[in-house]
Amino acid sequence: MPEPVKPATISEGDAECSLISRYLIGVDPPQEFKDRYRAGQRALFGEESLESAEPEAEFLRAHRWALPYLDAGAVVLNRESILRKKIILMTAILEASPAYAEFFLHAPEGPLKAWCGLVWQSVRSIVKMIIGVPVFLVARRSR
Amino acid sequence: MSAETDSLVVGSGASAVNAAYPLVQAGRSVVMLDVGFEDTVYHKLIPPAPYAEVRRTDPRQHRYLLGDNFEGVPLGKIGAGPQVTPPRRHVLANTETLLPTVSTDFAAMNSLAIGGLAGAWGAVSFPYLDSELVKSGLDPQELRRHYEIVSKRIGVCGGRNDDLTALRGQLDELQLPLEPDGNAELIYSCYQRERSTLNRERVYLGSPFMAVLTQPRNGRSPNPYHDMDFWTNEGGSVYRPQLGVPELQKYPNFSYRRPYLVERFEEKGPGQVSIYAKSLTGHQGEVFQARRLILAAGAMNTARLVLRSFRQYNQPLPMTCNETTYIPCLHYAHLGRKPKDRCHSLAQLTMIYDPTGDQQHLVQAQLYSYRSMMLFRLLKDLPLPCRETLRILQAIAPSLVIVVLQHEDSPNAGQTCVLRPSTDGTGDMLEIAWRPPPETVRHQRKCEKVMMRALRQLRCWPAKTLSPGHGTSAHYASQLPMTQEDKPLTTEPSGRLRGTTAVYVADGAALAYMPAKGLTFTLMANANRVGSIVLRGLAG
Repeated sequence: MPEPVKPATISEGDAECSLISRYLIGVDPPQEFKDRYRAGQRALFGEESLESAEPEAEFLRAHRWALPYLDAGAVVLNRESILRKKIILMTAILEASPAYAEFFLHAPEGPLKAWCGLVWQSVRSIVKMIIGVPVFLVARRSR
Repeated sequence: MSAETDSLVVGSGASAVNAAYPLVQAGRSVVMLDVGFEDTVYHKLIPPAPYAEVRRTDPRQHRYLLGDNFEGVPLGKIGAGPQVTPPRRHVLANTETLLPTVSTDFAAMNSLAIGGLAGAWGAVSFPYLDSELVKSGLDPQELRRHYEIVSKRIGVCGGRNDDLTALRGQLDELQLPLEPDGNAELIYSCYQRERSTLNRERVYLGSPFMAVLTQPRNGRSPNPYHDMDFWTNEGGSVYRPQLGVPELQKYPNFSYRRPYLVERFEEKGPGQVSIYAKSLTGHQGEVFQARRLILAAGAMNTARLVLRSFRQYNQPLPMTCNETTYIPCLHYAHLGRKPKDRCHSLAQLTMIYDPTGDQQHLVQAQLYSYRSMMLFRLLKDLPLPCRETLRILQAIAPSLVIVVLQHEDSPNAGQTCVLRPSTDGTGDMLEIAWRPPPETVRHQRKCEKVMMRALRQLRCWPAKTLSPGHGTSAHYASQLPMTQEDKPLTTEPSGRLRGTTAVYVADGAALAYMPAKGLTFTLMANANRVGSIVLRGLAG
């Protein structure tokens, strides 16, 4: 029988917010964003959201380096995972803020750079997904 | 019990407001009963500034872009429509409890808001072709006049001479078309180069007619090109029916009463209708008396009221709805170009496919630029890690074109709505069955392939087709179709409900057919026609 999932504390919720934010745009957001993130979790996933029901979230608390690979693995194995939904929520919070508007409104710098960027990001994605699938499977079985 | 009025109009949407106009202008007493929900939170927060400026400067933007309850962060299927942003959510508020509807395969959208579903419409305003009007049960010559009246009332803009001229119906009074954005300019110039090939495939491109002002009218301002049209309606440039209610309230013979949910009606004698409504503040019932009743509560709700009033439970009614498909495209000829800051967020171009070559079964698509809908909404749809997806979206967002494609619909045995009494005897609910014929679905997929081929020819690479589900177009019709045949639960060509002397149907429920081009503008013209007929009846 699997062990009951350990509830995450408020500080763990804040840490998760920082982790996802650093992963997405490389910044540690101020406290108001962390509060907003927790409010968003409650609104979208219910009160139990801080007690993540998925083992990969618990795995992530112990292995913070794994976030990019869990995200990439989830693309292949579970696109509807709570983890990906949390990343989308955090993206929404960052995007709807003047502090990070420049990142999201970034103007293109010519067709060549745009095409090269697309190729580069696609290659990175594929590599991450190749590594991400086994990491995700390990996380799934780790509970 | 209220004193008798000449006419009582149920609802405040596109049909209701335009049905009321001829009566009110002629001096008849008109009561409009409506629940009338409205946005009291978000519209006050949105500054009158361009999208990029808002994003860079407004610290409160998260409230209206995401919603106070994060209702603007869609994590499931496309469902109710990406255009229903938090400032527009009130349009669908409380309908699950007040207008219970069940279906396993149809996402019904009802509205109890002031302005109805058109509070969130896209404002595309094509008149129907004569053949489409005839199939809908309308007289083309008669309706043309009402199209012009409504066009003058609401303000319609658009171009006159392009390849859509023969396919979209004509209007005499048009304001200048909206300025196209960078994507639309490039796509249209590509179309002009590829025109002969595309026209051989019977695909045509042009500018849409839009119920949007490009010149001032009746105290409303021209579109400011702030690219904020999904979030706010600055200066009332986009016509929404809630703008019509205060206009009508300027007449002393018009009364807007809310919050009333109309439950049923009863004819006591010729020209004597009792309307039973529930006040949502006091929860007590109230009876209104009218010489004429105009039902314009939205096609599904009108059907519900008629079935309940006639006690026709378990009686299936026909129903039509435009099937919608979204095709997100990368307009690769535009990739890497800086987007214009001065632009609007509404439909930029219209593409029409004439599969039979005789204009009888047109397929229509609107092309939108994605920019102002934000990047996070697309994260879940791309099969790549979020970090990389975000950087890809950064690069492609200004060149992302969303094609919203709609198919025609005709009544058939697989598409019905039925009013079922509740098991505990306290109420009822509308049940919708939606199983379109397989050959129709096959034909739609075939048409979509042609459209996608045409898009590729226009340098737009279609990523995939997304079906948001049956019912999500929010275009519903045909429950009480207009017909010459004397059949119960139908409407006479005048709009009068059969079996009554003084009850008229002025919304989509009376239209017997639904072309692909969106029905709101035609609803308004038909409602104006029905209002005029009621007026003549009262005078006679």
